[in-house]
Amino acid sequence: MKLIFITLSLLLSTSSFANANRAWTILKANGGNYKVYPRVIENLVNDGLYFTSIPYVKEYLFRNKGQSNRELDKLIDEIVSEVGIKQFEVLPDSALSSSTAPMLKYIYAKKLFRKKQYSKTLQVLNKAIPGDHAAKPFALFLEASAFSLLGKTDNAVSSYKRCVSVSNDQRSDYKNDANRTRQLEINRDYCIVGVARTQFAAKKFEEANLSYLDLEKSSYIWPEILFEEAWNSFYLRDYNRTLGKLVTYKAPVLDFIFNPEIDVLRALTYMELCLWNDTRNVVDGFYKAYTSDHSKLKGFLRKHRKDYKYYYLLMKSYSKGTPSGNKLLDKYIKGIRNDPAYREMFVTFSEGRKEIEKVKKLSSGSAQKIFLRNLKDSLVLQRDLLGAYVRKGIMQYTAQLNKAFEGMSYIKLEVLARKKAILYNTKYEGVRSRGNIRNLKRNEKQYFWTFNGEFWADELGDYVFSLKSECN
Amino acid sequence: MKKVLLLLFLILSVPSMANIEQRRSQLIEVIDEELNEISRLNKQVGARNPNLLLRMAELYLEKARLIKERENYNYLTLSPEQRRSTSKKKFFSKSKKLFVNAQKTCFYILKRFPRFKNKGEVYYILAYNAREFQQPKRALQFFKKANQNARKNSQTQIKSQLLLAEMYYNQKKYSKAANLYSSALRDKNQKWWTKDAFNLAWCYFRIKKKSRAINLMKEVHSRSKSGKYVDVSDQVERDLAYFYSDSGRVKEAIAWFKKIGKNIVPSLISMGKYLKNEGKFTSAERTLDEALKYSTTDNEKAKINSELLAIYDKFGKLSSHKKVSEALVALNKRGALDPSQKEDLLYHVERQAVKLQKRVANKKIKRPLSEKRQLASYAVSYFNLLAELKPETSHVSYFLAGETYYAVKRYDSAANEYDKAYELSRKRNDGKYSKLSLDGMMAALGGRGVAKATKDKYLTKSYIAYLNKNPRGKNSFKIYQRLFSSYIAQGEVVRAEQVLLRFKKAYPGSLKKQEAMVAQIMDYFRKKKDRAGIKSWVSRINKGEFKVSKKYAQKVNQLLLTMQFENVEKLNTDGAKKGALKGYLAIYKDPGSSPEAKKNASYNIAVLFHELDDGKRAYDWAVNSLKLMRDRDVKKFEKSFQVIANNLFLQRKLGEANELYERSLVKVCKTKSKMKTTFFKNGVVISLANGNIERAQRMRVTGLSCGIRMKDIEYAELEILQSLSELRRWKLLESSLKEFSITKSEPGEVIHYYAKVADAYRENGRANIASRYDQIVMNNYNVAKKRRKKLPLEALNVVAQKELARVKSLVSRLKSIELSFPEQKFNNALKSKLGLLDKITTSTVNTFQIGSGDGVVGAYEILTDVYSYLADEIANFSPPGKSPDYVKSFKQSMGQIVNPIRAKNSEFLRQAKSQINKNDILSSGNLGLLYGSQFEAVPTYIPLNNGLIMDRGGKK
Repeated sequence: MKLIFITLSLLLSTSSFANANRAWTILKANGGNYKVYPRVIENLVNDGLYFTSIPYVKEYLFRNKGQSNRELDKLIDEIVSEVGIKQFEVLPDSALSSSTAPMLKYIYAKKLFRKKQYSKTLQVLNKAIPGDHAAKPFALFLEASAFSLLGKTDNAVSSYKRCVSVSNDQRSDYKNDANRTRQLEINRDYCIVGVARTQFAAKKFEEANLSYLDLEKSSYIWPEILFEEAWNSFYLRDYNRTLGKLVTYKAPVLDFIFNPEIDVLRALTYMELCLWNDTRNVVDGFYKAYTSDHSKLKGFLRKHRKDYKYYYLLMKSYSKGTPSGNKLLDKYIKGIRNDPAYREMFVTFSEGRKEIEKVKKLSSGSAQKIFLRNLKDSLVLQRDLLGAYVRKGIMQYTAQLNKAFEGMSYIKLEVLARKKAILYNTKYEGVRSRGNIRNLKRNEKQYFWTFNGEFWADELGDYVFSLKSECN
Repeated sequence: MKKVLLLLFLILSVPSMANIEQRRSQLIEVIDEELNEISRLNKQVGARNPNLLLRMAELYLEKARLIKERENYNYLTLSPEQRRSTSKKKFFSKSKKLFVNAQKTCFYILKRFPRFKNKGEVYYILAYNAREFQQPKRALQFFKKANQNARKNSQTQIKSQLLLAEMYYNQKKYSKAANLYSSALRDKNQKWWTKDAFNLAWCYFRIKKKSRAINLMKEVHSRSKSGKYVDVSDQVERDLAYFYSDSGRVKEAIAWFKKIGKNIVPSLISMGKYLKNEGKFTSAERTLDEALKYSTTDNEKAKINSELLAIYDKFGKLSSHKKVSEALVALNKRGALDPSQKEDLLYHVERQAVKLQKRVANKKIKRPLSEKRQLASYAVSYFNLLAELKPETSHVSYFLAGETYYAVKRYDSAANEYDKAYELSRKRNDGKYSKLSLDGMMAALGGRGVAKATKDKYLTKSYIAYLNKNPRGKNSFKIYQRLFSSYIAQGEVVRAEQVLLRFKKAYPGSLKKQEAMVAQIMDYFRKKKDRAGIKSWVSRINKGEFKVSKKYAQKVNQLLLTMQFENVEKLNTDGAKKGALKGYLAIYKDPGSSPEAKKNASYNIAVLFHELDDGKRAYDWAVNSLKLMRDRDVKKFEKSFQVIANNLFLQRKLGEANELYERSLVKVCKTKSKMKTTFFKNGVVISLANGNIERAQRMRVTGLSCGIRMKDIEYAELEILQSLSELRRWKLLESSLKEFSITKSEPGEVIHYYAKVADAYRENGRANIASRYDQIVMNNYNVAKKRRKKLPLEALNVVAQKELARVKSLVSRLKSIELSFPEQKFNNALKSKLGLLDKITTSTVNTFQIGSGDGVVGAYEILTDVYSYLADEIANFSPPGKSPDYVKSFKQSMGQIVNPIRAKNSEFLRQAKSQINKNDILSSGNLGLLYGSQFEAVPTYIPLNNGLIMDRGGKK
């Protein structure tokens, strides 16, 4: 809990930031009583001091057990839209759950979603966010996803479609806000593929195939979704198309995409075509490419643990053109840097830093001192959130790679088993449950991954191979 | 041909083995890659996935099996020498290590993941490994766990159940096996269902669910034919036939076989064979018996009987084996046996015959004769069958049959077989068996208890045949004798003589046997009482026509002698002594009588005269006999001679008796005679009694040369010395003392003789020599005492007298000292006397110690005499020329000396009496001591009625 010092001398500000000075005066006049925080927040927001206001919002919500009023809710919406939701995700569930603020409801629902409490997610979201609320498109995406994961395909598809619609509607409202527009477009595109994903999960591969086509190639998320399309083609036994989609990733423009599962799917596809040598080549190439760096990275992660600042600086250093020394890590960082969510967080962080200058211009030295300290806390948190995001990204990539290694091993084992069966001159029946390729195929639990944001678009992804199966 | 085939096989198999090895190498390579991959994966997931570990264990197991295959192949291709020098453990170490790895991995899984859902598979691997390591109990336990833990109806469970069932099946736990099989075989879509169901059917059969077993077998058969399953229809047909037959449902079986277009008999035969190979002989026998019942052709019968033959062979069912063998021989006669069956039959018959014969002949295992005979009968049956099967060697079979009978002492039967063998061998010019058969025949006929009929039939014929063929053969030696005996038994002495002559020619050195044959002839004559015959043969022997041992020659002569004596002895036995005497006399006088006869006759005459109490004649004939007899003869009859001599002694014919003792002693001198000492002692004593000291001396010398014990010799020496002493033949006594050994061995015993010699010399005035002997006396006394040798009373008396003589001289000196005055002189004399008295007293005490009664008495006599004398002398002395007072005073003072002397004297007397009584001393001195002067002379015993005092010879 942040202690806020209120100095009466700051109440009367003579600087150009009248609202901020007024905020200081109110604080001073009320001896720092938290009940006046909404007025303080309002004044700070009025002067664009969003990060500076965060500690007051958090303390008020905490002390007031999440209770807020409509005015404050509006303020919170405004603050979240400027600083991002991450700052508020760290609030305790008790504070979030009792808030009536639609944005905080959304944040709470998201937290529940992450905890895989999908029904509760739906409960929290139910009528909590008005149709014209800025969080609505994202809430709908969340709702659709929850439905989908609960197996309520129709509800899911309906919510996705509403999400697409609401996202489009709001996009026109924020024409001049590029950042917001991008957020909404990414959200819309995820909702478009959400339909396809739901169909995929329901094994409606043909329908999914068509739904994936709804996503424009110009979409920010298309490069990553291309992989999903490849899977869908795989399930449609259209192996040449699968390979065609996967080969797209070899385009230099997509070199920022790091998804080790691409190689796994490629090996799997070759295997389905009984192209053992190709399969072996993919597997061996994969091992060759990643084994060493992957192993080193494990040590790297162990060494730096939760040193978020380090990860933030790592990204910063990379952004300035200094590679990490581990090619695999560079790939990860590159991928994370292109992640819309990361970019959004980074932008807000940059904006937050601008508040420092504003605060320094306040007339009261005490106000400067106190607000700067609060601002610094928020910014440090934001930096750590960035660092944590980088670390989390690296961890996720590592986990993916682990999984891919596992997958590759299974594939190789499968190839070896088939080879052995030929040597034993017995009919391969593929009855083993261990190391079975079925373990590699996605199921409804596996195809969702974290909500990202942003998109990227181009004209790639329509390659089709023409390989002939060598299976007997 | 075989070599070519082998080469071809090798050529074909080498590339095939190369292919296998290549494929194996490739597989191992793949498994290694898989292991690498699994290891990588396992590492990847932090060994948290038991499935991966399980896969790893499976791969270890798989690789271990392949490596073991390779190791097995390599091991088998080693030469036996290499194999011997190779450590098997080391050779198979690679596969072993992998098996162990698999096992370790499995144990790790079980420990780390106790709730692992695929635990069943882990146990399956462990079970498989245990089976590999030949730990059946462990394998069983693991398979059980695999079955329990495997997922229901999973392959692991099914496989575990099948393997468990198989293990139980092999352990004959059919009920358990059946349960597992039936559980595992629920899914009938498995290719191997038929094979396992086949086992299940057997389980049912074993647990007496025969109908179920039959039904299942039928189902297995039907599925086997479907092509979808492993075809086990052949086995089913075989076993189903057995099931049916065992269940008594043969008719159903026939119907079923008919239905499937087959005949049951071949199936039953096949089943029988199978059961036989499985070692289930009872079932095999039953099945084949059924088959035999339903068999219709000779061919089938031949097959069945051939199988039964092997079963009975293994079973040891001799009677059945023989029966089947006979059946097969009959089938063979009909030409129903194929070459292999015939070969088998031949093998079995031959083997059985030989085996039985060996059992019969085995001496290590004791069997009752009846059992052996039973076995022999079987063996002979087999030999006869063999003769039928191999007529070209039938003579050998008959010979062996004969041998077998011989071994169980059935000599009649043996002879019969040998005869057949002999006749056939002769026909076939088989010299070896002809000879062997004849040898056997000889042996059989020589056996105990051979029937007369058999002997009559074969003996002479065989013997003659044999001897003609083998005049000096191995057994000819015996055969001659048997033939000879046979002729003798038949009374054919002339033929027997011919045999003897042939034998003599063939075995000139075998004198003993010749002698035995001669003896038989002699015996023949003896039985016939044909003295002429005997005389003629004795003459031939004596002429050296037949070389016989000296002993036998004697015996033959003895025979003649015996025949000569026979009648006389009969008379003797009958008590007709006179007649007997006449007879013996006649033999004695007969110029044709041998010295032996004469000797015997003479002896018998002596004995007869002795029995007639005619001492004179008995003595004469006894002396005559002793002259004729050799030493050993005398030894033999020594008792008789002693009795005759004793009788002569009783008849007071001391000289004759003595003569006989001496002559007898001389005769038995060098033998181990028991009477030798008696002859010696009696001889010496009677010689001395008869006053013939020279003869006694002579006999003593004879005794020494005859090895008479020194104790007895010395006894004789003492007797001689005694006689010499009595006869006062001092010169001879002196020389004898010098010569006799007793002088040295018992010096005490001869003391008194030396004393006598000394006395004799003394009497003759030759004191010097006497004193020398006195000296010897004392020396001998001292030596005897020192050596604790015997000292006779006479010797002690002699020594005591010697001692007393010395004391007596002191007494004389004491008495010679005169008492006189003046006072000083008196005192000196008295002092001398008292000093001598003391010396005398001391000396007599020494005499007591000698132990002589006479000595003791003599000593006391001296003491009492001298003490009494001295007391009286002192008491009676009155100093001359002295006043009465002086005298009185003198007497008073002397009284003080005299009284103790008298008191001492009285004490000596008491002691003397006491000693005499206590020690029963009989001495001439007793009188004075006991009775003082009551008697003037010693009382002497005078016998009444002119009693006689006899000398040593009992003469007056």
